[in-house]
Amino acid sequence: MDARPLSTPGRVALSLVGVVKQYDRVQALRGADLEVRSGELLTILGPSGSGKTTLLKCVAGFEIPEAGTVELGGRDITELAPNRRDIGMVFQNYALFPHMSVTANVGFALRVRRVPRTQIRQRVQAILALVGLEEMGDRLPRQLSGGQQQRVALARALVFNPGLLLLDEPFGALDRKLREQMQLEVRRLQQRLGITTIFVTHDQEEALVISDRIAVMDLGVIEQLGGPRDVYARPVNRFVADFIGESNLLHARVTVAGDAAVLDSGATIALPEIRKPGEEVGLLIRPERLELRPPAPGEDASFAGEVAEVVYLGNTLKYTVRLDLGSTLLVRRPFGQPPVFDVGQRVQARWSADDVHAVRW
Amino acid sequence: MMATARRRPARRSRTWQPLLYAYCALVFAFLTAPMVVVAIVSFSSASYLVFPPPGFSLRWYARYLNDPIWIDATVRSFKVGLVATAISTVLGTLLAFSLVRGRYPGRAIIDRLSIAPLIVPSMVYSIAVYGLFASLRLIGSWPTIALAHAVHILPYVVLIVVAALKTFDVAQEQAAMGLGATRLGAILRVTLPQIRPALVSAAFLAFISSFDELVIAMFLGGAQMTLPKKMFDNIMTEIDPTIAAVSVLQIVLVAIALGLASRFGAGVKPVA
Repeated sequence: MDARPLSTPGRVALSLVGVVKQYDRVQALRGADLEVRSGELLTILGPSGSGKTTLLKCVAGFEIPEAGTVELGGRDITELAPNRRDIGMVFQNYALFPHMSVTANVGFALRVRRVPRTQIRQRVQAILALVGLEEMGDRLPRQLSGGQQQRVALARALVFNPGLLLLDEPFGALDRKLREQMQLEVRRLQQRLGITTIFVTHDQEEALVISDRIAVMDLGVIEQLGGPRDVYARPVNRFVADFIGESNLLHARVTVAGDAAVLDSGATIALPEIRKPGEEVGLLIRPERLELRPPAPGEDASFAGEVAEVVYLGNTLKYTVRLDLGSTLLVRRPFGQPPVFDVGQRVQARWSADDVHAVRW
Repeated sequence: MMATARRRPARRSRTWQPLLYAYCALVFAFLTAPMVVVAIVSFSSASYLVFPPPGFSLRWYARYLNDPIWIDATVRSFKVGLVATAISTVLGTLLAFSLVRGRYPGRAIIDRLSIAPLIVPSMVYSIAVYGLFASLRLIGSWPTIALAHAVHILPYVVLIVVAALKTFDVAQEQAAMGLGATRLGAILRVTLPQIRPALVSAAFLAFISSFDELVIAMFLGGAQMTLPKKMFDNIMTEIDPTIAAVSVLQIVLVAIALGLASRFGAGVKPVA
C-alpha cells in the first residue's frame, strides 16, 4: 500500500459546480459549489437536512443531480454509474455484507474486477494488516465489535486504491472513547495513504479534530469553506458562528465611526476592525475567551451580572451569567484556576478586544 | 418463519397453568386428529372407508403404486407444480424488486393488482382462463395448467419477497455498486443470498398451492388429470381407501419439502 503514488497536494481532485438536487418538492441542494484538493481531508459539516448526505450521494453516483456538474480528476462523472467511478465509500452503518467473511468483504471490489486470486489474497492481507485486523479474516461481520466493523469497512473501501474516499458519518454508532480513537486512526491512515477524502458529519467537534478544511453546509448550500481554525475563529455569518462551537452572539449596530458597535442593551463594544457604519452585526465572543472577575468600582457596569448556573465539565467550568442589562453570557474557565464563583455571586465579564468577531446579522 | 423468543412475565398465576395446557392439547388434537384418522384408514384392510378399520393391510398403497392412472396424475402434478413455481418465483421476485425499489407513476396500482389473483374467486379465474385457452385450442395440456397456476400463485411470492426486500438495507447494494459491481451483480452477490430464506419459503408455498389446486386444473386439464383431480374423481365414483393412502403420501411429501425448506432457507451461511 505504501508504494501508492502520492497525489500532488494542492491540485483540485474533485470539483462540484452548481449542483442542484430536488426530492419531490424539497430542494436538497441549491447550487452547491465545492473544490476538493488532492490528498486533503475535507469535511462537509452541517445539521441534518442541510443536504450534506445528498451531496455525498451525488459524488458517489447514487443520485444524479438535476443541474450542475461533478468532476473527478478532470473527468465529468455527473451521470456516470457508481460502479465506474472508482470511489471508495464507508457507509453510516458500514453496510458490510453479513453473509460474507471479513476477507470476502474486503476482497469484494477485487473479485468484481477479476483480479487473480493469489493477488487478491495478498492485497486483502496487506490492507487488513494496515487496519490491524490480520487475525480476523475468517470472522463474519456480526462477530466483530463496532470498531472492528468500522475498520473492515475502511479496508473494503481502500483495497482497490480508489481515487477518492467518502466517509458518511462513520463514527456515529461508536461510543465516545472509541469514536475519538477511530477519528485519529482514520486521520493517520488517510495521511499515510495520501488519499483525497470527503468526510460527512453533523458533529462539529469531530470536524475540527480531523479535517484539513471544513465546508459548512446549511439549507442546500455551502456557507463557508476554510480550515478548522478559520471557521471557528472567523465564521462568515450567524449560522456558522452558531453551529460551530459554543458561542455568545450578541446583536449590535455599528457606530458612525465604524470602530465600535452598540448592543441592544445600550452598551458599546470596540470592534477589532472597521465595519460599515450603521450595519447590523452579530458580535461573536467564544465562551473560553471570556474572563470573570469580582466587580470593582469604576468599571463598565454594562457587563456586570450575576452567576445563574455553574456546570462542572471535568476540565472546565461552565458559567451562565445573567447580565444586569438583560442578556446572558456563556463563560468557560479551566477547572482549578481561580477565581471560582458560585451561583448568585456578582461578577464582571471581561475580554480582550481581539476576541470579538463581527459577522453579518 | 423466524420466531423471536419473548420472555413472559414471571409472576403469572399458577392456577391457570393446567387450563393453559389443556387448551393447547385441545388445539393440537383438533389440528392433528384428521391426519391421524386418515393415516390409520390408509392401512385398512376393508375395501370401503370405515373407522376404526377391521384389519391392517398395505393393499391401498399397492393399488396406488400399481395404477398407471394414479402415477400419471402424480407425475403431471409434479411437472405442473415445478414449472408454475419456477415461473412465479422468477416473475414474482422481479415484480417485488420493482414494487419496493421502483419510483414510477402507477406503482401503487401495480402493487394492488399483483395480489388480485388472491382476491378473484378461483371459479371466476378458471372460467376466464378456460375461455382464453379454449380459443387458443390449448385445453388438455399440462403446460397450460402450469401457466394458469403460475399466475394463481404469484401473489404468495410477491408478498413474501416484498416483505423481505423492505427490511433489506439498500445501502448494502449501493456499497456493492460503489465497490465496482454492476446493479445485477450487486443483486446476485449481495441481495439474493441474504433474502434466500424468503425465496425458499415463497417457492415452497407456491409449489404446495399449485400441487394442491383443483378448480383450475379441472377446467383446463381435460383428460390430462392432475393428482387433486384424480382424487376428486375417486371420491365421486369409488370411495375406497386409496384416497387415504394418497393423502398420507402427500402429507409425507409436504413434510419432507418443509424440512428441506427450513434447512436451506434458514439464516445465511458464510462465504469464504
